[in-house]
Amino acid sequence: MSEAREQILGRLRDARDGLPDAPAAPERYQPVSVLDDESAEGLLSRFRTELEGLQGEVYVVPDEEAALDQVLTLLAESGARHALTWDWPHIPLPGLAHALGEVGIDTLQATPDNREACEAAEAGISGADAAIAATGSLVVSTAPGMGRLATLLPPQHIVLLRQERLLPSLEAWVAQQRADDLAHLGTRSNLCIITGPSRTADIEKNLVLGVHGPGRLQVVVVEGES
Amino acid sequence: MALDANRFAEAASRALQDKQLKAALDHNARLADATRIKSMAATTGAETLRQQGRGARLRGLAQLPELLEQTEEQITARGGQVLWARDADEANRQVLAICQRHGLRFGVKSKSMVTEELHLVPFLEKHGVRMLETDLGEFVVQVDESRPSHIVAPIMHMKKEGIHKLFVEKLGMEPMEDDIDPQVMTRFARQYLRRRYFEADFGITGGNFIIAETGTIAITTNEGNARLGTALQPVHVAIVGIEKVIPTWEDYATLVQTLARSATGQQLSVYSTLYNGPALSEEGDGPQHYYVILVDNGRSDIYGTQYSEALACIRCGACLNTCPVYQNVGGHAYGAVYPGPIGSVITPLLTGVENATPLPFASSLCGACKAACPVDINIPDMLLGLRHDLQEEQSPLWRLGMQAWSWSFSHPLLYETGRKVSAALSGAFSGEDGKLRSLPGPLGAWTEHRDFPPFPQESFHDWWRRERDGQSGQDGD
Repeated sequence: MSEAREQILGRLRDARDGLPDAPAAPERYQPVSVLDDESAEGLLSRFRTELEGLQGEVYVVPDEEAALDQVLTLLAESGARHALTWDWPHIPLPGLAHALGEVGIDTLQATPDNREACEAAEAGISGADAAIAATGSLVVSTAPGMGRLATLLPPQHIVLLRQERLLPSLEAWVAQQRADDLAHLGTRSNLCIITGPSRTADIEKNLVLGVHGPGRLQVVVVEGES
Repeated sequence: MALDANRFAEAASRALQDKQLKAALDHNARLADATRIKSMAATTGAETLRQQGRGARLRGLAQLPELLEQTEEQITARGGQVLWARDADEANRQVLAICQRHGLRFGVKSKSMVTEELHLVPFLEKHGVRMLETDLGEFVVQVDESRPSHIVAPIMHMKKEGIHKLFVEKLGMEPMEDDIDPQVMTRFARQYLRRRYFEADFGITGGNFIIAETGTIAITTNEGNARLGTALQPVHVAIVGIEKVIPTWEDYATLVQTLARSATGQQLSVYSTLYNGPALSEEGDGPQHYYVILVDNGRSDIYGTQYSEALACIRCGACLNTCPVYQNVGGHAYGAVYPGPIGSVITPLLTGVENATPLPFASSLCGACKAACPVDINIPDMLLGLRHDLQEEQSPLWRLGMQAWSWSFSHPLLYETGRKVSAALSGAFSGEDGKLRSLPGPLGAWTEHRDFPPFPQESFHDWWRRERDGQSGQDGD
């Protein structure tokens, strides 16, 4: 063990008597914001309101076929010809690879050796672990085949989301992880709670989208149970 | 630009004459303050959440040694490496050693106050490692070769015209003929930086929180620069102050939201990124090597003292935005890495009181900072404590004057006589509006940087006696 480590910890232990008293952790934490309506429709409607308020886009479709059409429409609108995607089994839309191939859109997945090709992709396509209605957020975590770059590098990010993955609040998501003994979190090298398109207000508080991450965030929500 | 907190009075006087700075602060700081108030009011209960967040931070501090050990254990178990640094020099050398071990020459850095405190970038550049700031505001500051003036919004002191000029002159941006468009400037910066993200061989970040139970480093950005600066590069070095620890994910859920609301009025920052370790071997992106440097650099000196609470700060910047002193003089005047009210507490504590004697006095003790703080830090109380500590540092004449003042206050006859003499003499020193602007002799130390209100011809004592007597006559009691 390093000398610095022992010295720092020793100094803290010697000095701790003078600390102010800390209250015990609450039995139940008060959530920062709550939903009036936690029904499936309530969650979806709040998620849409919040994300659209941040200039994100939400498209609700009844089934997988409509979801495929929606993705193709979004790509046709932006004119993207290359899509950087998660590995197909991690995107909850069977048939997507085939559908993209049919309209001539090249797809690729990130590897340590194809950075330049990734940079050329105009769109990224991913799934998400969960979505949070109260804040209009998406939770993504990394694993083999579920990389950071598809959610980050291209100017357009399309997320496929099953409606059942919508949760009321960040606190509810944490409660879900706790029920799982934080096991899911523990297996991931990185997680990110994405709340809207990349933005800055550094210059005189003017809002500008798409600084380093995607300026367009488009969530396609597939209704009903999977 | 060297940092010298002892020249606050001089720097503040200069700042007050700067019309451009005033325009920038009037717009930026006040808008940020109003946004925070609105955003906190929209929660389920601002005061309850403040106390919930405060509890989380105080529990983190109360169990700090154990939680740091837990953090180390968790990170190590996932293949990361934890290093401990007693001071700035040790931390900087550890980063340099990592660069040498992996042959790293060029790093991208996201915004981090602790790295400002360590003066890490100049250190690395002196040793041949190139660093690029990627937060838009910090990037502007780096191109400008100046310093950030705010802990959340580094270029709060700048107007868009100044940034435009900088980009045109230093980076060769095509000048804009008519209206200067922040959108165009931001797009220019994105392109300029994007290329360099790919060239970089490592990324440096700070950390907003350390969630001890899983050893997770949490970072929030709006631009996505920290996430991108740790996705493409093979090495990630996170540099975090030891005080940033919180025990649980529930604590994180509260604090990450009150942080965003207090800093910018958002419900959450766009990218709340959570780092557990290096990328797994089959992952297509992310760092192969992950280092966390836990930095003391004076924090353990504060720990356990009457100023311990200052370590609970989550660096949201709300106390800066709401402070009447900050709103008028801006961040640079403080001559410190951490400006504003919380800076006036931690700068003397981290750098030594003798190196920041004016800062505890750079406050009217109005309490706005405490009211704005999302973890309810009692900043005014600590400023008073520091003033008390500083008595020894003050000139004997000042101390004598204050003692005389205190003595006369407890002797009514002496006080009244003194007041009458002062009132009679004050006409000789007052300006057109009656305010005293230059008092004679040692009293001039007061008026050098402040006005003194004119002494009234009638004192409260006189008024009270007159009114009381008059009243009793009219009312007959």
